[in-house]
Amino acid sequence: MRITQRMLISNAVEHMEASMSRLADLNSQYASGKKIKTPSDDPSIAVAGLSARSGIRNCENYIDLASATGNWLDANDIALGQIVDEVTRALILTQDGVSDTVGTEERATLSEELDSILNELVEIGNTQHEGDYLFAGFLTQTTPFQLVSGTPDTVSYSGDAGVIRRAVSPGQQITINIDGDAAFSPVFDAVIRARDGLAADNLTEIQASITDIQDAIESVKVVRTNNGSRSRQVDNTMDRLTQTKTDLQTLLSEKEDINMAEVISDLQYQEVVYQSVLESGQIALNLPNLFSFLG
Amino acid sequence: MSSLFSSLHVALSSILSQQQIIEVIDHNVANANTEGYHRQEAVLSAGVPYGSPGMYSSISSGQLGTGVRVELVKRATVELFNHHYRREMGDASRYEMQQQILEQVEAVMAEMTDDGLVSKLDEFWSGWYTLSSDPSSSAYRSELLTNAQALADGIHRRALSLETIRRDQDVALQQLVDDINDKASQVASLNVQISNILSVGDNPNDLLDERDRILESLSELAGASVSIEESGQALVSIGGHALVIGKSTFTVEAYQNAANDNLLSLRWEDGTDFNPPTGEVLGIFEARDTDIVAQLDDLDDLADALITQVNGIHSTGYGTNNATGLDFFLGTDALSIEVNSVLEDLESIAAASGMDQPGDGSISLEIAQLDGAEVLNSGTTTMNDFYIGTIADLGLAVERAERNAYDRRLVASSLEQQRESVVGVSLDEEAANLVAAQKSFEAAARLMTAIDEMLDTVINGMGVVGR
Repeated sequence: MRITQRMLISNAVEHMEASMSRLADLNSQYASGKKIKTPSDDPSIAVAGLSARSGIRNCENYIDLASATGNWLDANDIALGQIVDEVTRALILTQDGVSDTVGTEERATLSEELDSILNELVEIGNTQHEGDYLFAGFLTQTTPFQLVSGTPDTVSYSGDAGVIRRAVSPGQQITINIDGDAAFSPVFDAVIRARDGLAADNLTEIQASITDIQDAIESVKVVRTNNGSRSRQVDNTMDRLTQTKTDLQTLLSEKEDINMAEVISDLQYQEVVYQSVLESGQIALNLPNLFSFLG
Repeated sequence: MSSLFSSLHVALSSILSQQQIIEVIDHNVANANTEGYHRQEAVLSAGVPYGSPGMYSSISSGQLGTGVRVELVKRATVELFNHHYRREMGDASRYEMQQQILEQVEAVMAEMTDDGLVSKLDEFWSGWYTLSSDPSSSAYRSELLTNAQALADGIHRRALSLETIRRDQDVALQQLVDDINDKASQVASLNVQISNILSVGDNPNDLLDERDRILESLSELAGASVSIEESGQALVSIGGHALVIGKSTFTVEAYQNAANDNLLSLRWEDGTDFNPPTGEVLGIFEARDTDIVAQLDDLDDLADALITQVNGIHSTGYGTNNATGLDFFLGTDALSIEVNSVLEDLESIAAASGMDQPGDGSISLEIAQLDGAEVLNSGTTTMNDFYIGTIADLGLAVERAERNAYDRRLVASSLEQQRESVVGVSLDEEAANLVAAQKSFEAAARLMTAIDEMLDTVINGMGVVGR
């Protein structure tokens, strides 16, 4: 093949361009730590990356939901624990009041103590969690319990029977609230009965109220156990979601991130290649021709 | 009988011819780096010999030569390569143009950055999920509204940018059309000059170079095909319609096509459609009317799904102010989508399934879970996956155009090498030829001196015997 000076030059330039472009590619991979810059660099990696990122985002959404749900359930648990404590104290006081050695005056004192327990209980019933009333059904902005005087006194309920359900993972919903009316009204009624019985020095009433209080404690404990088992479900879900998220992150990294060692060694090799291309180009460009030797 | 004077002429013919050869070499060396230059060569031939006239021609010894002359200045050419080369260059330009436009589209979509639409979609769903965890929180409501506005704005802005890129091609097309018409008239005028020169038996080498250059760029612009007629005139056609015949040209014009969003389309002056088989014009058409339109359609589908699905659920829900029946998004497609401004009163955002239920987040959860709902591609694809698919399509289109452009360019460049090998100027070769011509010139000059001396002998030395 006949070779002209122009062919040598354009060849040399072509090789320099090709080598330079490879060098630039590797350099940008090295600098960004990513295999691709735009989807067209490798559409399959881009799609896998975008899907994984969406999946991670979805996991994070559910993790946030599950954690908020867990917090609500924990708040429930604390409130229920306080109720049990208070009612147990009320039971002990009432049982004290049944004793024959206790006189009318002492019963009146006990009754006053029960009254303050009752107020405590109403307070606990009105517990708020992040600005929402825990035991008011859907009416999270309305104070649910209020002591209403009458014969006998009652505790009115202004919430509703709404069942708040929260998603904790795709397809899994958990009821987070406790029907305040159903769970707490027997407690209030029993304590009111005991208080009034003690105040009126009515032994039969006091005896009856002890059974009521015991039943109420049992039912609150059942509610608390249910709440605890929901809490465990949420914890399990949370573990699973975190695991999925970690898996997805690993996948994303495998797809998108460069192998540093590989890229660095490629880069160094390409640098050597580029230098030799320059050197050989220099020789091609500086070749003398016959004119140089004609006298 | 020959005379000394005729010998003088033989020597002179050699001197003149060698001079001409050197001039051609000069021209070659001068144009060694000129794009599209074809090496020229002075072809020598011996002068027409004559037999001595006389009654008995056998007295003389055969025919006598009359020296040398330059018969023609030949231009090295490979017409076969030219055809192939023009076609490959046309394809390369087509794909390069397509790649260039689609890379703009890719930049507008910016999907691999934090500004990507997929991440905006995720933020939007996230907003609903968060709201469902505390439906009465106005902070969450306001966050949701911001995310939703960012999403609607992202879709709107992309659609708008795509339309702008489409419209921008009008300028490029108008320029290409002007270029094509301009080059066509140049070819026509070169046709006339070339055939004139050929008709008197000369070689219009440099004009041919010029015409080849223009024909090449016509192929790159619109995939023009060329055939050279016997008269030396080039017949140029594009997509089966003549562009140049002899000295006449047919003009291409751009017009606003009402059937294609009032974008520019091209037609011949006689009204038939201009259908380039390849070249930059086709590259623009493909990117503008196929690839970008597909992206726009996908954006419209996404916007439509988003609007109908979210509105369908949202309008059944109740805000904390008991507002109900409200659409979340307004608009019908990617260009018109926006968040209903009524919802700037955050309490109107519906999260609850009934009146007076501030703690109920079931509607917001239902909307959030649209992120996994297969509502597109006739109920087989989620919105996220649909859009990821759209991005993949775009990535593939760019990659394909890039690969095609690279491949065609590679073929063209190897053809170019082969052609250069035949028509290019080798400085070594020219130097060698120069030395040869110089030596011949010296020899001819020496001959002339010898003849001069002989004449001197005849004129000054003869007839003076014994003087």
